[in-house]
Amino acid sequence: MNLDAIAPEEIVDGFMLPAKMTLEQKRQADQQLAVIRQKRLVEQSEQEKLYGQLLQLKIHIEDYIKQDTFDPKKGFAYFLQLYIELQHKKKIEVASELDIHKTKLSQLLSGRRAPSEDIFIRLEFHSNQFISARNWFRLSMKQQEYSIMTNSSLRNKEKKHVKGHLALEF
Amino acid sequence: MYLLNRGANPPTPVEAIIEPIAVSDLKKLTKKDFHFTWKDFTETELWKLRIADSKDMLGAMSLTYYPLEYRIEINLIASRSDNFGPGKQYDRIAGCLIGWACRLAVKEYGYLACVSLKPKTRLVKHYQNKYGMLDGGQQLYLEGRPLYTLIQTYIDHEP
Repeated sequence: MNLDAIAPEEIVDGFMLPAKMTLEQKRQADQQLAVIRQKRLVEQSEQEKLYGQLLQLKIHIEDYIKQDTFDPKKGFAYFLQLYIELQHKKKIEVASELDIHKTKLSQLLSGRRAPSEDIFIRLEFHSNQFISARNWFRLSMKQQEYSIMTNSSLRNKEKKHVKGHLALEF
Repeated sequence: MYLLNRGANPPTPVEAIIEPIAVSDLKKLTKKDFHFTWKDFTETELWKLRIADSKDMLGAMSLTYYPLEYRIEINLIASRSDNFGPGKQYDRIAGCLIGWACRLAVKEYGYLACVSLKPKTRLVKHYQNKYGMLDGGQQLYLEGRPLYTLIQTYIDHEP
């Protein structure tokens, strides 16, 4: 099929047709783009930067939730830390904005305290609905799921409480 | 992420999925179905688009990463030949694939992210009108607000 015979409006809905360029022409085009972008980057506002950083974090959270594997270094606390860092605010300031005690925030960040539902919802509002309570919750669940699967001391302790079990024969 | 099924009356959204092209997919990327010799692009990163309840590829995309420039270049996008032109069944194929490239760029490069392309001259203004692409001299590009808008419109937006 001859793509050149198709209306441009139709082409751009289904294709990106590249121009024919030599390697040297491509190199020059890339140099030209680099100069144009450099000027724009200087003019980028702090708000625009923050939006880009938040979007990056949101995408990392979304993709991490979808992954089958859990990285013990990447629990709820890890992403909360990133969320706070990109705002360039002191922890006490963020604690105040979330209306929680600074000690509670420290405990959440160190992983010594598990987040409760109110925290997920407050974080959603804090991010102006950008990162949903559902995704903060899912991050926390991922961590709990890993803990249930791997906490052998808890499993040994709880096994003693089970006085009977199903007799299953295959 | 969704495509618009124009075969239905009224047109209805259909869930779409974008995933990496597997080695087993390569033989399906024929010139007859996807207009180009995709073997020439096997050194690049290849992605495919399909609707959620079908394994058939509807679109394909080739990308190259330029980490020092915080940029991803779209080398090529093609829709399958039976879904093309005024009689096509699904809309938004290129938009979703371009939006996906933007998402990959933000994931990798944050606020410095850029997606670029070097389209045929006769198509330049149409890409600009439809996707809000910026004039980068001899090529088009997306960064900042227009790039975030495409992610919102084609990837995150739910119908």
